[in-house]
Amino acid sequence: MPSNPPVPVALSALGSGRTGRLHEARLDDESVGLLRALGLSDAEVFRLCKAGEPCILQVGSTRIGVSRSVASRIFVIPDPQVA
Amino acid sequence: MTSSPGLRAVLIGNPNTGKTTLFNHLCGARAKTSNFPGTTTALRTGSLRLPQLTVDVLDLPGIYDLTLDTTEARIVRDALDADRQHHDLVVVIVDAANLARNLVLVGQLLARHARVIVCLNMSDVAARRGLTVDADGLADRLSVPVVPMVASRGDGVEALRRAIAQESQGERAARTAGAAPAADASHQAVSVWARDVAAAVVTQAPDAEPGGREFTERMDRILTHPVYGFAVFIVVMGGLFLALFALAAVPMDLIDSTFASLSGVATQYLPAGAIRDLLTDGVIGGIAGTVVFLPQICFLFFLISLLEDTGYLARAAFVMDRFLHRFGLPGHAFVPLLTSHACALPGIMSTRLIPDRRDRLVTILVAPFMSCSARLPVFAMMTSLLFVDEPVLAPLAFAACFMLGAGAAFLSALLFSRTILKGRSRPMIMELPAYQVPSLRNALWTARDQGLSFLKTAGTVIMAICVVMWWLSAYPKVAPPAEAGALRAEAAATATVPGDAAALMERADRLESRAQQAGSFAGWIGHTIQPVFAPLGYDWQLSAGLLTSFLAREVFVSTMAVLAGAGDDEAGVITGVRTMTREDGRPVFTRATAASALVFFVLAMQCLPTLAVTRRETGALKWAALQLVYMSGVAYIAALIVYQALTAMGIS
Repeated sequence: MPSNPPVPVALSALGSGRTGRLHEARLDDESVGLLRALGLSDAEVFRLCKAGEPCILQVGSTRIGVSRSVASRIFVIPDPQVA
Repeated sequence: MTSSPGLRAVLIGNPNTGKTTLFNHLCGARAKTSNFPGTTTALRTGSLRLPQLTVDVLDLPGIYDLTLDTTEARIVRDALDADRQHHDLVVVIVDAANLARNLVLVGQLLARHARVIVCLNMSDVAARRGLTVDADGLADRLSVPVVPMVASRGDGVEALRRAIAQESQGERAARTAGAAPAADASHQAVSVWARDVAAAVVTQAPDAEPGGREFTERMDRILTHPVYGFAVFIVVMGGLFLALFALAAVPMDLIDSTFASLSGVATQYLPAGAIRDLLTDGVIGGIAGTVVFLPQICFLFFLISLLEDTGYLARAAFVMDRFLHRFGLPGHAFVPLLTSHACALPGIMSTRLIPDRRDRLVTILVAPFMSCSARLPVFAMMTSLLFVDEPVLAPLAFAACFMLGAGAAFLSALLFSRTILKGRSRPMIMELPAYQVPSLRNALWTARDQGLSFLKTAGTVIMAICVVMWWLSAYPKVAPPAEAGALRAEAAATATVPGDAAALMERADRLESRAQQAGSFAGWIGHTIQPVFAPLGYDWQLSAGLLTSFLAREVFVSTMAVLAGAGDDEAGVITGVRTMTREDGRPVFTRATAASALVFFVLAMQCLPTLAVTRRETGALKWAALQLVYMSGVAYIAALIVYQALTAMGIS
């Protein structure tokens, strides 16, 4: 039986410590380009270091801070939680 | 040593990779700061002296990606296109601890440029994180020289100088296949290429701990916390502000007294006349009026550079973004707005920290509303006039002036964001750099560069303005009043009693100054513009005071003192000004007039040096003109409302 496709969630809804990959950023082109240049893409795993305002995530060695309003417009595919 | 005309090396890299530190090592004191042609982005150029040649070094803005649609990326693309015609050298500095991301920019440069040198900086940070980068392997893979370095310690700088010398004189080596992405490769393809290259040359120690991660995460949680982060922000910014005042006060006093002595010497040795007056009051006064700002500007940029190096400013921007965003201002605006409480000049110059042009313009336009130190003498005089023998109300009014200025700044920012500079401040997305010990050397070079830049550009304008304002106040020459002549005669008669004679001469000087002010072009303009200020309750003397203080607000106190014929000490000035009368015998300063004038001074743009700096920082006269018209309009309307309301309530 095929498994259900992963459901994207807003980055702002993710808890600290969770990992995942970018699904879609509903932001202006400049902001999308900046996120991509900082390494946030569907090919890279990020780790959410701090949830809330601001959201801090780590991609490779890069720490990226985004305001909560930005985080609510970034949709990610979270990695499954380890029980 | 020969200089090779036209030979240039451009320095390029991601933000926070130590590019400025490397530039300072290469060029040191031979650097200067100016704006990129047609932009307001700062450009640093310098010269690198090598045994056989001198290379001009151009420090380009830090960018992550050549293809981004940002001002910085456009500037870099233009500079690189120009370089291709000159066969120049591109020195790209990369963070060894974050190689895959930094190699994206390297790949884009290799795809379009012939001569590239890669500086593998922060090798020490990479080592602490258990990362080893094979520099030789990277050089083979990219077919370009790779120089490992720790720029903060100066390690590897000599090797880079040798590499630049070799590359400047040599021919381009043929690249091996796969050494660079295709010229038309997509961003995704370049990213894949960068990951492949990084994977081939970076090894991670299997038992390595992610260096400093726990410390960084704990610090980030505190420094960006809504409550603790704000408390730290208040302490840090309060400390910066106090340090700025404390450090700058001594050299400012020294500059003041030095120029006063210089003026005294010129007065003593030069024959009386127009040349002496021009030199002492116009030129020396103008230079003093420029140089006196220098300590604040240098210390501010020194302290900001230290703070920026630590990595704190990026966190503080997030703390303030929550509040400032509501008014259409970015979190980055807090340093310029806070600094403007000391002086709007360094405040406006520090808007260079703000990446977005719209955000920068809004901040520049509203920064002069913040009550600066030059307003303090005026506030002190006006509150003393308003609240005679009311020791509680005067300080409260003083504090209210600061709040009124800040409120006007935030509301104006909101207005500009919804009208001529439509749009919300740029969404906060920032790289949070690693915490590190700041570089004293960088801070000193930054302070020096910014100070020189201020003197060269704004300084010349300010001095010219000072000379013009002096001329308006000094001409046409007015015959001394008969009363002054009588006093001088009396002084001569009592010359045997030195104290009495000096007092009489001083009174004569004040009478002559008053007559000169009244009869000068400035006085004439005061009379002419008085009808404009009549609804605010101002007579011609107060109007003339407003005009002369257009140069600098603090001039208002001395102008009023001259017109009142008051003494030099503060108590004498306030008493003299309080008892000033109009031509019909009514007092110049009623409560309503004083309150109206106080509000006018809180809100008005009465600082020509600020307009000169706004013109320079925005790159267009129209923004300086808008600032002048808008602030003067707001000040006039607010002062009118205060005067008319108080008069209607019977308070006068």
